[in-house]
Amino acid sequence: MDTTQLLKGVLELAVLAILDERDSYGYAIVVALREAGHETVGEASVYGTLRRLAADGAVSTYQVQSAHGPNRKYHTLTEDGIERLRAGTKTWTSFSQTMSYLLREDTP
Amino acid sequence: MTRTIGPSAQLDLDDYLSRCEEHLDDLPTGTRLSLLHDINEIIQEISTELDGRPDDLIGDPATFVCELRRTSGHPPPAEPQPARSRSRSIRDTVGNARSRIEHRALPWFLRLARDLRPAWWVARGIGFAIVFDLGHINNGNGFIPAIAGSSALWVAVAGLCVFGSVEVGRKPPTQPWMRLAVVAMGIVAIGATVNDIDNVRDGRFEGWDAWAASSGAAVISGPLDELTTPRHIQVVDVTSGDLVLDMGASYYDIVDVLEDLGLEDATAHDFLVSVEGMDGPQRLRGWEAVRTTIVEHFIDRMEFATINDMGRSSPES
Repeated sequence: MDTTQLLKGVLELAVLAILDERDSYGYAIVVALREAGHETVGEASVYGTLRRLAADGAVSTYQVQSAHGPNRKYHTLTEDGIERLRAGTKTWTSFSQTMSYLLREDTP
Repeated sequence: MTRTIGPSAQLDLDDYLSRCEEHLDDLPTGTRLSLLHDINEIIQEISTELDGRPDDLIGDPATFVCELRRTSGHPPPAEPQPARSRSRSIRDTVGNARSRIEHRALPWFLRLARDLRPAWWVARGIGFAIVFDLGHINNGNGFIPAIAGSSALWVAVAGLCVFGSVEVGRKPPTQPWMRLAVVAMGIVAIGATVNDIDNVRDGRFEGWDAWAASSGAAVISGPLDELTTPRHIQVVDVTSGDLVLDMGASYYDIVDVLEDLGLEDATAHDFLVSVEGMDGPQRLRGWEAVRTTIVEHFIDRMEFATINDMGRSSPES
């Protein structure tokens, strides 16, 4: 099954989970996702998701001076973001349990 | 290591952004600009981590923009409408023309300018070298006196200027004041070149007379009037680069000088009348003959060191 399509549905949750661990900037989140196994995730998907989360008020941003070039825009979870992560985690856990159950039952 | 975006990378970035904009033009202006701003930031952020042109870093603009729009919650690019009203059609035509200029013609010119930069560096060096010889071209004295009349030295100076210009072009300075200085040098080089071209076109600098050069002086005919008559005659001492004769070339100026040189009035008059009756190139050659006569006598009879300006002081005979 194409994991790219699956990731599309949960990319927002994955990004929120990474930001829950530590504040980060866009490219570092892309790298973290790829290192976690989502090698096909695209920059546009991650940056677009961050943009939407910022527009929704789930993350806020701040600039950090970088020794390697221009300032980096770091993202941090807001209260709304933490709440969204909590709700998303709950939904995902329930969903994945259901799927696991179904797949165990159906797989010969 | 600190990475800074160079002129070439900036052009690539501008080009990429302009191609992205093509896929955003259906969005409200504020949204479009905001997305473009974000794309700019994304590319700059990734450029600090990886090397490569924007197309290599994040893929082609159409795919990138489409995905960015989808994930950031903006509607996908609008499909083209099959039927359009007349006003919409005109608006679209104007918009398309504008878009083509902004996204195709302008980037094309920017890329062309980037490709031609080495040629500009060389031309700037030569132009700047002309500055050192500009005084010589205009009045017989170079800003560096030794250059006046010495082609080899001028070529050496030009070579140094070209080398410096190319080096500055390959490694642009980072300090703002130095960048400003480079721009100023470019403007000076263009100005000097235009001035030089203008002088040559006006006939202000007709070149050195070989016979005069071999005798220790060089003759520069003055600017020509509409009848190709020299308005000015200048003589330069080749060895020192000094301007030793600078006189008007009107009929009366010539008569005065011929008289000062001890030529009989009748001879001078006949000479001038014969020239007055000539036209075009023949007239020019006639005036050159007058000039040659003057300079020959001038060189024969005068000491360079004692005569500075025949037009202002009478030479001793």
